[in-house]
Amino acid sequence: MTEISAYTCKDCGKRTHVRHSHCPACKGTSFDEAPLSGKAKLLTFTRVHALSLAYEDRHITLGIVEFEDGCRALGRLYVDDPRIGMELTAEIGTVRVHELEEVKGLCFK
Amino acid sequence: MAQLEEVLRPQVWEFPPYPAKSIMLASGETMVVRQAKREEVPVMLKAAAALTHVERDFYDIVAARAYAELLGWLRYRVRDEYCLVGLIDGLLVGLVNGRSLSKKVGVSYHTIAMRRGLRIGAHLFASKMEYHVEYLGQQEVYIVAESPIGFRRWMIEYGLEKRPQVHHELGGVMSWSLTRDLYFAAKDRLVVGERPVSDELLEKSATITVLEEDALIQQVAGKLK
Amino acid sequence: MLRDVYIAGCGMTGFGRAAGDLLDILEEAALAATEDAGIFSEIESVFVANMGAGILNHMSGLGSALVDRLCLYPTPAELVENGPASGGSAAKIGAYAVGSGAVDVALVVGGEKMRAVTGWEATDFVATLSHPQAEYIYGVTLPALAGMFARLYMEKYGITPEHLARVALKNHENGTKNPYAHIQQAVSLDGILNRPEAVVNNPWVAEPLRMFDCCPVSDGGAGLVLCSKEMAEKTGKPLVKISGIGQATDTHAVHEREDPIELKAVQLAAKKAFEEAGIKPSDVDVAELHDAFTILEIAESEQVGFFERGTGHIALEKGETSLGGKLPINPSGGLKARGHPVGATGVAQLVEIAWQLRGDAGERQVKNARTGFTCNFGGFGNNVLCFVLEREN
Ligand SMILES: CC(C)(COP(=O)(O)OP(=O)(O)OC[C@H]1O[C@@H](n2cnc3c(N)ncnc32)[C@H](O)[C@@H]1OP(=O)(O)O)[C@@H](O)C(=O)NCCC(=O)NCCS
Ligand SMILES: [Zn+2]
Repeated sequence: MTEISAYTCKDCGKRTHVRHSHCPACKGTSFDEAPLSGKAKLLTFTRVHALSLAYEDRHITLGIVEFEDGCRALGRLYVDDPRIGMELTAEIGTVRVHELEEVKGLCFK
Repeated sequence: MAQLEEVLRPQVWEFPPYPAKSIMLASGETMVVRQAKREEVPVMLKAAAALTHVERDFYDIVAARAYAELLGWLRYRVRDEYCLVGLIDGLLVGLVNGRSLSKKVGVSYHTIAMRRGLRIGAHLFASKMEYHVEYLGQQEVYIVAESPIGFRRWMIEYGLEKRPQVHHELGGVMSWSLTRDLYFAAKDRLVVGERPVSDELLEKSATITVLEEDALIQQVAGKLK
Repeated sequence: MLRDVYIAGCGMTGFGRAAGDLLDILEEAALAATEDAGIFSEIESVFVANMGAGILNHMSGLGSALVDRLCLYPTPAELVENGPASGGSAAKIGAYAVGSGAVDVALVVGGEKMRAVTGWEATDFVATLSHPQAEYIYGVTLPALAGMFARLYMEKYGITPEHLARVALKNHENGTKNPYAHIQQAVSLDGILNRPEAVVNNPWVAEPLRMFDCCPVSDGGAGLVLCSKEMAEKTGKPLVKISGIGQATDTHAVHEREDPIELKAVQLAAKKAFEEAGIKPSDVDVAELHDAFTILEIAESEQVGFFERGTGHIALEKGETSLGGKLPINPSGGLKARGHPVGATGVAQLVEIAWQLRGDAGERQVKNARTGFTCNFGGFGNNVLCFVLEREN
């Protein structure tokens, strides 16, 4: 199964989902890479109705979450009634189909 | 001759009327949606004719076909056709037409918005579906479209079902269907308007006027330079 | 900068849907600006701003293409791409070229032809500026990023859907006074918000944002002739000086910002522009802010320093930002009504302010405007440019 990574700065421990050459907190340059998973808190969300040509859904819901270790990420939400602060669990799922290829990403339930 | 004409003229189903409604648009203007009378077809033909050379967004094909359909209704060559018009103070801002294939099945023909940016096409298309399902009591409405953009939008918004076995009378393109269930599932989001319409508003909408050709073209084609 | 830079000429195309191709748009904008300045063969450098010709129009090398159309060769030319802030960036680079003394006259032209593709493709195109792995693959759109921002901003400061709608009301009203605006149609609060019909009139785009909270997708171009004081004086027009330029960047992915409602790049770019000009936000008479989404006009009006945090919507409500108010914001109609051909917008903002300061803004003229400000917001706030313009004589 595909994994979605997060990076931990070896110098200060800062966790980011986005890969950088330099740590955003301390400018350190070495990182441990590990899968991003587990529980996360919803920070904000939107239900998107005007979608790109890649989607035939009437709408999809996207949100920004913070994992328990402080790492932040954006992903697809599969909850009927999202509320800021609610607890979610991350899974990996298909988030887009690009040129017939399924693209995997973070899905929160 | 009269006898021959009688053979050609379709039988008519006296279908229930579409009760007029009023819709406030984004601009704050009120649009009355009402059923057009057969005698009013000539004025609508004038508007359709003006748009038959506007390539933008397939206005040309849609207007030319609607022209033929409306003329067919006027001259008794299409069966069970109807037309709903959108009027602001009597001025024609859009029209939709269709017909009944049977008491159970309706066919959607065309939607023409004559002002842009006010979702007039969306309101009139919804009114047409409302007519078929709620007033004609039909089980489903067959839909095809010439404008890919308008169509994809309806397909997504209403969640239309494919009907590959159905030959819609507008040619061999893929037919889709809006069933009663799909209609009622979408109704709250897509079908709006107030009834009854006041006598005063009905009075203002009693006579249909259309813009002069140039002004109408300018209004749909925009300030193309 | 080593020396002062002036706007000697400016002009734009009608925004909306253009009949011609991208090169026609750039040509029209370039000629509008050069004819206004009465300067043409003196141009020593050309900077073209565009975000998406490679994707939308299958074109590249726009600098050379425009120089060829104008037969300006061998004048140096290049394309500047910085997302929806491409226009601001090209103007900055043009101003630096003149300000450094490298050239005396620079032509800056921004243009975009977005209506060459369907709305869904345009949505996807704009989304390509989001982070490829952390945002784009999820179907993020710019309205989606703005929607998530709006949800937090509205909750924190008590901003209601009505406040957002009032931005649209104001900017659409201003747009009816701007012959170049894409949308010249006033809207009503009942029609877009209060009445049951609003669900159809004003559909959701990315909750809590609706259609009238978003800019439209537009074609259009705008141009500026930038030059030294000596050259500007020869035009015989009122002197409009670029007295401050600020630019700042922020994280690519929005979720990496410590507090996602802090538009740090806006704050820093504005601060630098004001410092360079040696003025305070309260000295500004008229501003063009990047209202790609209604919430952004409110947020920027606070974060550039015009209003205390959390009070932008109150100033709006009181009419302070309307034409005739204390600080008119987006007299042009803003991105909301003038339209948003992404590469052209930053230039168009400067054109509007130059017109305002020269007294050439027609029905939407802000009385006695002498100091103007623009904020051009690229990405979702990851690259922002602010300008201060002042009338000198
Ligand atoms: C809001 C949005 C989804 C609406 O798109 P749409 O429903 O496909 O609209 P259409 O293109 O069919 O427009 C039909 C008419 O509605 C009007 N219209 C479109 N968008 C509008 C908007 N946002 N506000 C007001 N009127 C609008 C126009 O009059 C348009 O007529 P035109 O074709 O003559 O220009 C689209 O405008 C959009 O995506 N905007 C955001 C663009 C963006 O993110 N830009 C980058 C920001 S940095
Ligand atoms: Zn670190």
